[in-house]
Amino acid sequence: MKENLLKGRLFAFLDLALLLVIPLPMGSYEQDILIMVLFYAFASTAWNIICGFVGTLSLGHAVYLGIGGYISTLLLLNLQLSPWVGMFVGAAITSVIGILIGFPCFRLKGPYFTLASIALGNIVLIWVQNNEYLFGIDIKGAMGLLLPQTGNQAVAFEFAGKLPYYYIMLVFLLVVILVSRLISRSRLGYYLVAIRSDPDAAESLGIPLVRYKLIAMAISTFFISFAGTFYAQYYRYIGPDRVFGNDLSVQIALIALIGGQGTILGPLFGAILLVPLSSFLSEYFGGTLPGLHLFIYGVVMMLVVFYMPNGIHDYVMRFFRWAEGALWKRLPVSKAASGKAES
Amino acid sequence: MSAIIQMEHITKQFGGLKAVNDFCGDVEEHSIVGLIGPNGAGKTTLFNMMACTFPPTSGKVRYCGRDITRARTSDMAGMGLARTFQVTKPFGSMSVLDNIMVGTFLRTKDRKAARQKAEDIYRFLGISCDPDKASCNSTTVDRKKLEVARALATEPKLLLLDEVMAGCNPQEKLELVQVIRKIRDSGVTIIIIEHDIKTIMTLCEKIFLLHRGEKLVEGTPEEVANDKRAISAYLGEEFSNA
Repeated sequence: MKENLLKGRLFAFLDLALLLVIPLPMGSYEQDILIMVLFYAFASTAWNIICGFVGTLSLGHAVYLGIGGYISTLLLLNLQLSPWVGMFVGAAITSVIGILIGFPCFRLKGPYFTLASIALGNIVLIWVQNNEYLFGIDIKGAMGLLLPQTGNQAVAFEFAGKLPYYYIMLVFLLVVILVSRLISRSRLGYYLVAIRSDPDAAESLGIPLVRYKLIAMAISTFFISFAGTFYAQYYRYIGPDRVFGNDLSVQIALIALIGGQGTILGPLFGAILLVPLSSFLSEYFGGTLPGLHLFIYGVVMMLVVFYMPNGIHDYVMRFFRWAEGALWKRLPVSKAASGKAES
Repeated sequence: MSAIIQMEHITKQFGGLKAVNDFCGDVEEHSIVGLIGPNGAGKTTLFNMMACTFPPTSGKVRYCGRDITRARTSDMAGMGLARTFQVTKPFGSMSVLDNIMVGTFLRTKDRKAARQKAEDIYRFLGISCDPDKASCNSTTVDRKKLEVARALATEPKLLLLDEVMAGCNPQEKLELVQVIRKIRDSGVTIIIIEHDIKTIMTLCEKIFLLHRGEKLVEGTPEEVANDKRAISAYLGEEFSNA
């Protein structure tokens, strides 16, 4: 028992240390890929809180990401409010919007909810592309918003290098993973999985379905909006086709599905697999035959879906357990720990 | 003793079909009441209206004196009315114990307390499979017991059991009869739908016999067993001497 605890702590510490040092020796291009891995892992983990635990497939979640990004950016441009504060304002508003949209949509079942979420994405996209003003605020329509580049300003969420962005996103990700772990071990988590497994049985056990879905929706949209703020700050730009488009929505959902829907670390594993894969493929094959990189990407995805319909999560976890066990045996600490246990 | 649930002239119409027609009946507290009848007689439909899965077309359901005819399904467990489903509905991806915990969480927010109570119920019902195993792999009898365990976990006053013994062998049925008696002795009123007449005759104090949506006979097991209409509609000759 004690040995397991020590082992768990040690490897959690090692994993964290690895995440902290891994970008240090890398070039700016590789660092950018790492940041995108964390970015997508974060967005997918947030998506997973509603769509993974409850099992409703939303293909319009980028909308909430975009709304969060737009709000913090507009606050920065018009009121000079630091995005550090603006992102919380954005998250609160996004969360309310999530509840308002969820309220009618959660009455839809199965594919109809998914269709509604796709429609939502397209409505917001087309509306923003064709409107310059919202409530008298200049949102620049299809052009999108450019953020000022003033150099290295930590207070304004702006940095010269890529490294600070990496660590910020890492903290974001750790927080959202912690939150989804807390949820999964609480009454809320049990209720959400029960709703996914069998809504009728869940209802008969006293679970009001819509209320719990809305709670999950509020948490999910709250967190995903931070990804929007991060996106705007990192690229110094936010535009409708980037953040409201179907591409981003589908990508967020796909990463969680390939990683393992409803698992805590699945979205992270999915992002670690898919984001670098798509970058490397377009780097190495993008120039040789047009579309080849997308073809290979598609084949990899099909293989995963075919052979691991529940995602790669369980396989990755099994591998980690095995690797940790093997490593542990070679460590001198383990002998000391087991020696103590014997005496 | 007072009635825990009263049904007053309940009718349920599905399109042109009257699944339940003008049903009246009371169930006394702390009793075991059987609901029998041929397939399609409207037994499960009646359960669904008691559990507020859907409201009757006309008529009233009173539970502990309150009109619950149009109450929300999810409010019923909190009021002390729990049910099981004819086709078992385990939360497949969850372990057996986690399944029961979904029920115990109704009365407590604390995970440890919920788990403790779930373990008690698991032992009380004598479920034989591994509590930490995924529930989708368990045997029929364990699935049926799990269904009861989950309902029991909500601490009901009234428990509706829909064919919990279907698919079990005689030995398992005997075991379940004992479990049901134990549940009743702990202060729970039970209404049970069952096709095994012998079991129902030994278990129940009162029986409703439904036929084509209508209440044909109501009475003690002896009264029902000797009723001519009951014999010709459902029981057949062999029970007339019971």
